[in-house]
Amino acid sequence: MLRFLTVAVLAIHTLLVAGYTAPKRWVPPLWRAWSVALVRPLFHQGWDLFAPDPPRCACTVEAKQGQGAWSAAEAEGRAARRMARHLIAYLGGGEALPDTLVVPPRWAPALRSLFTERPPLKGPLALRAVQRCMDDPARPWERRSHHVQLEFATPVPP
Amino acid sequence: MNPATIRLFQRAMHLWLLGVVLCAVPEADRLWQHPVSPVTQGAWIPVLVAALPGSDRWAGLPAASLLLAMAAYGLWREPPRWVALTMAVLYTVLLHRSWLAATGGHWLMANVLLWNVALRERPSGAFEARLAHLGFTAIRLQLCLAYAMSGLNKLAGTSWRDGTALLRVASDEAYGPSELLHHPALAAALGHGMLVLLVALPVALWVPALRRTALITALLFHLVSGIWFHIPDMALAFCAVLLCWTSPAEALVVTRATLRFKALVLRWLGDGWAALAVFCSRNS
Repeated sequence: MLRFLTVAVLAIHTLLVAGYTAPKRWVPPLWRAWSVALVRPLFHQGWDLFAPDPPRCACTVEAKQGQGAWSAAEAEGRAARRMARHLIAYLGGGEALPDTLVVPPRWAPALRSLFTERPPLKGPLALRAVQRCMDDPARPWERRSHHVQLEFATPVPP
Repeated sequence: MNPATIRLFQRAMHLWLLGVVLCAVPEADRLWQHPVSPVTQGAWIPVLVAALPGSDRWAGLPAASLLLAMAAYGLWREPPRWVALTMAVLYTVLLHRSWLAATGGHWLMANVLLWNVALRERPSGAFEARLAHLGFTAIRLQLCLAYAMSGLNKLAGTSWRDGTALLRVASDEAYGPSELLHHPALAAALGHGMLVLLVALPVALWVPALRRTALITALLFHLVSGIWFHIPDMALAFCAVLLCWTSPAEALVVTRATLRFKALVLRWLGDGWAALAVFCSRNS
């Protein structure tokens, strides 16, 4: 009985995690719904690094205060660099962005707080994304640089 | 399931925890104290912990310090179940506070730490043994699922199949190496090789005749990709969890080698300390 229970738990768990992490279009909607409902609370995970395709654009975030010079999130530390990259990926930075991007309210506080540790405040904080996009997949080494102004949809408290 | 294998795996997992949390401490403010990452939705452990009194005060650095102490204890002895559970909870809370900085390796470890609560080096009684077996098999399955799903997700795109994916990755200066750009055939071969490896590993690890080859290949793959893509924490998380696939004999060899290395380091430290004491006494 105990043996059967172990096998059943493992089989169900494996099927649910597979339904949660497999490509969305390959999983039947009902299986997917059960997987999300049961896996998300305790066993959340995602296996889509560079998948289905690596991003076409490399993207970083830069900030400046007042008339100061632009400085990249990279300068803020390893975790800051990774957070900036993930944040901009959530904003669609893997593909070419328009010249100005309005940051949705969900992401605005995170983006702003990445750069709040830099005293003294010498004017308003301006943010921009720097994209290097590949235009021709056959020539990946040729990348075009593009600056994207980041604006907030609603004012974010400092 | 063998005590030597389980203990080696647990030590590797605790060592990874110790390293990752220690490396994150200098950026604790952004990661845990005043998290940059937006609050996650739908996860039970962070919600339950947030409901505890004063959780905002202790869920940052104090939780990380406790986790460090527990991980250090785990290197020495197998922690009791309540400690294993506390470690899983603390790690999950810290991970959810800093999820924007997390990699697949961090999430893998969160799942493994949860199953580790069921795992025991020397279970007593039939129920304990069954529970330990459940935890051990779940950890092995979790690792296989990670490889299989990573492979399937890549197969769902086009660039991995036509061999241009690694060219795209290498052309991003954050990853590199840019030398690969001048060898598209090599990049295509490596990309296809990676796909085959990701899809084949979950099967090969279960086949006794292929297990050792698969294990060594996977360890090398992670070490190389960890250095190449600048994600050592992710690579080392997979390496640590892969150790649950070692045979008892292999686990003993690795454990003995680690103990010899530890003794050597302690001797060097002892010699250094003695030399320093002599130097100080002569100059005082």
